[in-house]
Amino acid sequence: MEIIDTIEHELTGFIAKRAQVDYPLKPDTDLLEEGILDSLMMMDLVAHLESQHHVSLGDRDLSPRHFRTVSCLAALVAQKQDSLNH
Amino acid sequence: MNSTENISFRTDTSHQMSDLDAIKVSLHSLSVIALGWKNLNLDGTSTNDSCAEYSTFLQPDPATTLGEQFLKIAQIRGSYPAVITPEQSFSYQWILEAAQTVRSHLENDPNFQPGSPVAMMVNNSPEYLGIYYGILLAQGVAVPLPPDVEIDRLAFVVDACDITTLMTTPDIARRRHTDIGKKVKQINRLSSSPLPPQFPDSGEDLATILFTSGSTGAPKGVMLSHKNLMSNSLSIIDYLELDSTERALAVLPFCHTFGNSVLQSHVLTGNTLVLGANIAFPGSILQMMEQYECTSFSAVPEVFHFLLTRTSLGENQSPNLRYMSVAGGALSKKDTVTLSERIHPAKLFVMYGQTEATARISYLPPDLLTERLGSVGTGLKGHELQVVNHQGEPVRPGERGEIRTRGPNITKGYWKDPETTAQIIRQGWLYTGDLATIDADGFVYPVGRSNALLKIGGHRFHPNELETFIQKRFTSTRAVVVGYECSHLGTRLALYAKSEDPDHVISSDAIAAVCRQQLPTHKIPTYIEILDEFPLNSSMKLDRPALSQRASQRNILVAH
Repeated sequence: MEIIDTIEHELTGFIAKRAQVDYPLKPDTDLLEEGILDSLMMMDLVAHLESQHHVSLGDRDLSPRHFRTVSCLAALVAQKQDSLNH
Repeated sequence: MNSTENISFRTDTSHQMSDLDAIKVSLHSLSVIALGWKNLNLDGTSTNDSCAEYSTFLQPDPATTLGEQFLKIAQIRGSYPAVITPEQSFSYQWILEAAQTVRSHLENDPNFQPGSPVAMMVNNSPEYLGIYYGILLAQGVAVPLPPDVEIDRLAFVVDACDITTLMTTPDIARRRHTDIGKKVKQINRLSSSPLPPQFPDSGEDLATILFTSGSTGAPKGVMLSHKNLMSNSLSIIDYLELDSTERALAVLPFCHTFGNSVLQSHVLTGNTLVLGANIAFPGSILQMMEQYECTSFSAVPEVFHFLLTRTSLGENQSPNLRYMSVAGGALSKKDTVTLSERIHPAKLFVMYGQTEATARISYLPPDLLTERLGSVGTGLKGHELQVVNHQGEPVRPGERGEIRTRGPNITKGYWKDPETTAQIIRQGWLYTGDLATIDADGFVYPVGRSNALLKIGGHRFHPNELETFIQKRFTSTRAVVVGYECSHLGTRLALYAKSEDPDHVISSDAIAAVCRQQLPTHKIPTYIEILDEFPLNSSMKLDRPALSQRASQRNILVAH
């Protein structure tokens, strides 16, 4: 649980810094509906996840299912990291 | 002032509020008109693409205006799908009725007369087509702006073009209400059929003004006549060999020149645009191409790189796919080769152009891709393309010079700016500001820019725009913006700021907050740092390359 919280916190910070949002970003903010996750944001976010969170993301990972909210995304990252460690 | 100001300007900019308040007051006096397909309730959402008469290719008449050609096509292609979205299809009849509704509204507006510029902030949608061609049917001039345009640029355009009407969709009106006001008029379908529209007498009349970043940083309105748009569309239709069965997956914004060229070349031939793909999810692009049997896909280099590295592009490819096309920046040689191999037997068109040339200046025929790798071709049929030195003389093969071109696609100039127009158009030649070499056979190889313009995700950008934006909002602050290269991602922006007053402290958080509140994503710097001094080079001038390098080394987007 703690690991997920840390990832969530870091990702919220990254997205808020990079995106056009004028309100506090929450872990359950719908990034798609709010228009936050455009293509440039997505490219930068994927680069960030791979370099800072050391996960590698394939075709299937890059789906609205995983990227709709920061919580979904943090869960994906935690699960990827976990499977790397085992 | 009303309470909405508090939302957008929370930072320590109170002493600067007056300018921005004035902007809002002027924008709030615009007449904002919203058109939404759900409210319009028009017939024509059921389409038919199997009729035998639709198999005839309709060659556009170069002597007509855009509005006339659209009307002709819409009447012939009536129930054929103009737009397909995952929700719904929209026939040419639907687009025509929506356009007539827009036209009728404008013609009844006392502030509107033929030749009046009308602003539009609309995403790629059936409404975009209805509004764009509606403005043309009323003999207006369409001024499309991106729906996330920053308030400074919107106000600049409204002021420069004396715009009184802004057309949009209900969702964008809602999202931008603090900027454009809450008084939005929704327009509904017409109760009676309109009289046949009148058209401009001459193809020289303006059809569209596209605002783009100029070489000095201030936005420039590129004036495009009906003739400009017709001739460039015809060139494109010709070399892409478009027929009567095209279905383009259109992800490029129609309000930009490249997206506009995809729109015009398909609508003027009565073909279909497939909308609604989200390029943030590369897998969905492939899925939509397959599902809707798309015949083409056009994008900027960054999107192709994303597709190549993140998807199985090319595997299980639909036999309907005929070609892909890339422009808006240089696709690396490696990506060019990989892409053309992966999409084979579909073809890859590497193309070159700019807004000042309507869209397209040149393309490389796909069968020469390997042989002339890195080239953008020899120009369009019937147009001239040269690489020249400072004296305006053609350079020798291998020598570097500036690309210039001449033909019916060259803009009439920048809106209300004869001075800058005279700098870029001389003796009928458009000086592109792009540097290139040329080989003995006339193939042009771009190598860079002669001015400070940057390309970010396909968007043209001048660092001065962001520097001014920051300095307008933070007093006693000097800002310097540079581009820096992020491996695989392309160019991103770094912003350095320095306080000019020892008692005045600025914070990178405050700058970041203003940027993300008020700028579209491609203009938001990915690296911000406050410096005590800016680095100087040996001639004691600001050392921009050093700042660019500094950002690359500290880049947050890639591992070091």
